Amino acid sequence: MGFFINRRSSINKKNSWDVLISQRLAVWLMGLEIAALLTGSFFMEQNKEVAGAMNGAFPLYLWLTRGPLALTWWLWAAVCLLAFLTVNTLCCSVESIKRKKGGLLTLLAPQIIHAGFLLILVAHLMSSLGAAKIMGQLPQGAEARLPGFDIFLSKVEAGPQPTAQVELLSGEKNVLKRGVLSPNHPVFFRGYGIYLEELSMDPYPAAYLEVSREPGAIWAFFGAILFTAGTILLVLLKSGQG
Amino acid sequence: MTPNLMWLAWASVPLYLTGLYKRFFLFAGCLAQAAYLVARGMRLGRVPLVGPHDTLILLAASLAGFSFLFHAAQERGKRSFRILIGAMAALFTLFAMLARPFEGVLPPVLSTYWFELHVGLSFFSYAFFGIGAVLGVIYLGQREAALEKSQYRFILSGYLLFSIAMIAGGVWAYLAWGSYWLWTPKELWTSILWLYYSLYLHLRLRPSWHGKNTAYAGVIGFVLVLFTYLGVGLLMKSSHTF
Repeated sequence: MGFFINRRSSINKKNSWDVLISQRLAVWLMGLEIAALLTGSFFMEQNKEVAGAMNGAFPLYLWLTRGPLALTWWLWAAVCLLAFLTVNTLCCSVESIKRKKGGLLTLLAPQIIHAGFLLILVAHLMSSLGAAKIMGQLPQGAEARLPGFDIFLSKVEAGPQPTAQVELLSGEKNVLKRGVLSPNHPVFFRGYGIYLEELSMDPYPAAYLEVSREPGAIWAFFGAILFTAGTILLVLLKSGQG
Repeated sequence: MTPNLMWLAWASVPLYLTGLYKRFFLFAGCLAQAAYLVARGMRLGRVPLVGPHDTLILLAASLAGFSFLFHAAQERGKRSFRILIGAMAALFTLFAMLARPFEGVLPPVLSTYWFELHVGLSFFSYAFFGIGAVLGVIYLGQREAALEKSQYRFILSGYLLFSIAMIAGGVWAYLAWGSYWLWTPKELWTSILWLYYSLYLHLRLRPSWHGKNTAYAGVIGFVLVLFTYLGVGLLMKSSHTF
């Protein structure tokens, strides 16, 4: 009897593993993820105010947990499907490495792509939990308190390429860093990015600044590099197959 | 002052249509559009990539230009291929000519190589996906295995370019707005498109899906490309409305 139970349990384990590594599951999960995002795009369009808060001052996690389920369910569904897809991707990669089918590069290319994809997902998770954004107008010659340091706006210059000179100060008013902000050229300090959004000279010179923290950014970048490297390798391998 | 060579863009329409009969004219149409874009870029002092006029011309020229990769490699299906590519390029050019060219000065946030890389590679990838769709249509009529294989290669190459375009967009968004990802319908549709082609590439790994099914999937993919490019811009609000 014990033999039959053990045998049945090992068959069940094998079946579960086969499901977890299957491409069929990957295809279904991707299809359902597409459906969730597609629904989300129309929800966002119909509920612009609620959707606008997704890019607001607080991490996405807060939007997701505090928003009404009637408006956030599609993102919950997308996140759950991505969690299943992560498990499927990991299991599929482990199985491919175990089987060692084909040459080394043929084996490696999809795993590098998978690793890149997973890193990008980790990055999104980190940003969803820990991103923060503060926005506001700062007149020339004024300073504002930020988490851990102060920012002083020393000079603004309008023109085709507007600039704002800033000094980052310690609590004792020592200058920690000086920088010049312009569009696409932020200043980074202690995990924060300081961005120039707009300048105004009337009624007084002032800069509209944004200070943001995006903890997943560097991981997303590394993930993207891995993903691209794997895909380039795959393209080269496929083009060499005649 | 570089002259406005709009006639070159107009001339490409009859050239593409004549290209339905003779391949040389398809090539001439592509050259005329390339010359137009270069002249326009020199006149404006920037790469012309803003608005439907510029991007549709780029899409038409890329479709015709990259189609020569197929002409150089394949023997079968060339006539139908030339006809469909010529017709699509002519149609996109006509739509481009209906749109008013953007002649103004770019906002400072668009003056970056990341923007040019993001938009340029996006439209190159759309052209690859378009060629993949054309090959899918021809395959469904002729059932030549080589055509479906070519479709796969074009789509895989398009997928690589599209991925790099998304990465460039993420880097640019991070440098400009402090976040590599914004929750807007356009970004969601870009993800849908990327997931869809990921799904296509996984489908093709399954032998039972080779052939008719993947050919259809490639055609549907280009419908999604057109909706992501034109439909979302027209129907939904997003960060991509410059």
